[in-house]
Amino acid sequence: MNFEASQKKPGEKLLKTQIEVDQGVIKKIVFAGDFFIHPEETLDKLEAHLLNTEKKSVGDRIDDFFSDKDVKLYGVSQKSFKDVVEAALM
Amino acid sequence: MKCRLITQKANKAFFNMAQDELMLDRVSQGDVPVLRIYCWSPPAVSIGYFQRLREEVDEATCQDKGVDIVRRMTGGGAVYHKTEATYSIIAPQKMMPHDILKSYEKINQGVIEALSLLGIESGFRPLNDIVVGDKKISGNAQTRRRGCILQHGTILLAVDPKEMFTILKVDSEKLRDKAIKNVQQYLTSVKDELGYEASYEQMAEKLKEGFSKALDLDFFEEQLTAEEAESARRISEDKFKTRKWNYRR
Repeated sequence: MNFEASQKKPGEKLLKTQIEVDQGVIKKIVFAGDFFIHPEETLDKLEAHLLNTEKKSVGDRIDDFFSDKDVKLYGVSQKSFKDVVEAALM
Repeated sequence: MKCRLITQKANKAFFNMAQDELMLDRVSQGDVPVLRIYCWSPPAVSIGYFQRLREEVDEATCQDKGVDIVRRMTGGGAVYHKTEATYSIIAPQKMMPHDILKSYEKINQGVIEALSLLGIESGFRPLNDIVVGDKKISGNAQTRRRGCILQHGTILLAVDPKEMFTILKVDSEKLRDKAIKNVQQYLTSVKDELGYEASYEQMAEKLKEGFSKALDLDFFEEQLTAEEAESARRISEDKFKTRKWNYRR
């Protein structure tokens, strides 16, 4: 099943996600938007980190990803990633 | 700080992005910092590194009008490059503030000074805009790789909102009309501010002076060597022109 959502929080840029789920597990996830992330490779790594994650565990998995990273986010936040995924999967 | 100055006329979008990557590579290997000033022909859209091309650009209209589409190495939004001057500055990270916001503010002083020399008073609006009042006249984007900072940005010499919103996607016809009407509230250009359209050459000269003054740059002018031009051409063909790069997201 395919899910998608987009959000633009005050003070942030547009963030979109498209997610493919099979039997409750994420098979593909893509984020997009006009934000800045340093280093840029972080987003590919986040998406890879979330593959094969159960829907119900995605928020924790996002937190886990950012817990040990030296990443700078501008126009988007760790919470925004969680919120847009939650909005998509609702 | 000694800095190589490359002042160009118009290039294709893919070649512009390829030169940025080439210079980033060369400066990371010890070459002196580079400031390149250029424009775009044919007109082009560059999308941010994290954007989805199909969602941001009307591909059919671009094809009809001969507008190129390229993904940048830097984040941020979709930009329609037509009547503008663009700069790219590549320097070792240690020569700029470590803090990303402060580095944007510092580098953007070059553009602010250039606009001042043209008679336009502007200011920095975090993260990456230069504004006149509260209207954007310049957008900028930065990446940091291999110990270097690449920042590039545009200065709008003139803007045609109707044309811009046939090229850049808006969700519906209703929103398109609203976007065209509203754009004058948040966007401005050299022509809007001065009452006449400064030429690219005039703006390029002011950018040279502005960056020299604001960043204390001691320029020597050197155009691309034959080897650099060939290397950039290969990067253009092998990366920035490819579907694999431009549709990667």
